[in-house]
Amino acid sequence: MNTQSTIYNILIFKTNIKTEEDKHKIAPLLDALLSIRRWTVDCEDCDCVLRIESDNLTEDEIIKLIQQGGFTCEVLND
Amino acid sequence: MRTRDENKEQIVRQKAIEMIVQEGLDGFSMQKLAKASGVSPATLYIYYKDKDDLILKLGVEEGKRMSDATLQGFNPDLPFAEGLRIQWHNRARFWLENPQANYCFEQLRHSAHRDKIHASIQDNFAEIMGKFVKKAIQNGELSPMPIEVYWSIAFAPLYNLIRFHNEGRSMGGKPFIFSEDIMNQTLALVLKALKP
Repeated sequence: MNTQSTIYNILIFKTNIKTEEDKHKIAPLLDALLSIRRWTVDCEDCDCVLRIESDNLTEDEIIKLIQQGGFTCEVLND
Repeated sequence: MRTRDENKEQIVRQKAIEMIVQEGLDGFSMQKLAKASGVSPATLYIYYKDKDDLILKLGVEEGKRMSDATLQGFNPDLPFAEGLRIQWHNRARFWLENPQANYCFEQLRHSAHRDKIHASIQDNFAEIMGKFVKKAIQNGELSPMPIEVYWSIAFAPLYNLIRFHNEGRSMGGKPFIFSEDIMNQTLALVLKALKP
């Protein structure tokens, strides 16, 4: 069990990054950002959830970036 | 900043086990699990990056819980009969108190995560068990035999009694309830079989 009560910022988005191919398209944009520690897309999920672990990026910055890559991206709210 | 909530995490884990038991690995999804746990999908994704990640972490945690429970009060230097008795009590308690964990492990055993989960359980568990058996053979308390034969005699009878108990029936549908008496009687026969 992870006893850490707080970990670095995790940002969660709903996208239309549906396939591995889509993921490859978006990968260079996300990989280029050094402030992203790790990113994953759950293509199995109906919301194609993009999950970003980062220290200092904001949700708006990510949304802009993904939209520039040609995909939709919005904050997945609690 | 999003934070982790240990309570919520515990609920999510419990619900995930229930869902895996009831619907299998294919039947459950992050969305369904979020709904069943009363958390939003967004919250679930804070804890786990996807379904596979969740299954793997769950398996590793359950495996650790199981091996910790099994090793409680046990040490490999104990006389063989005493050590095995403690093992039986620990294993019986864990599996009787966590019947769902059993079905869950069954599912995970057939999944692609098997090796990774196994590796995490094996950590010191196999080492301690190995030491116990080796020492017992050296001391003339246990007949030398392949590990598979040893396990099949030493533990499979206990797991079978627990299976009968969980099903509520033994052969031919005869009602069955596990008891300490039944366990001790079986253990005595097992010890007899393993003695040189």
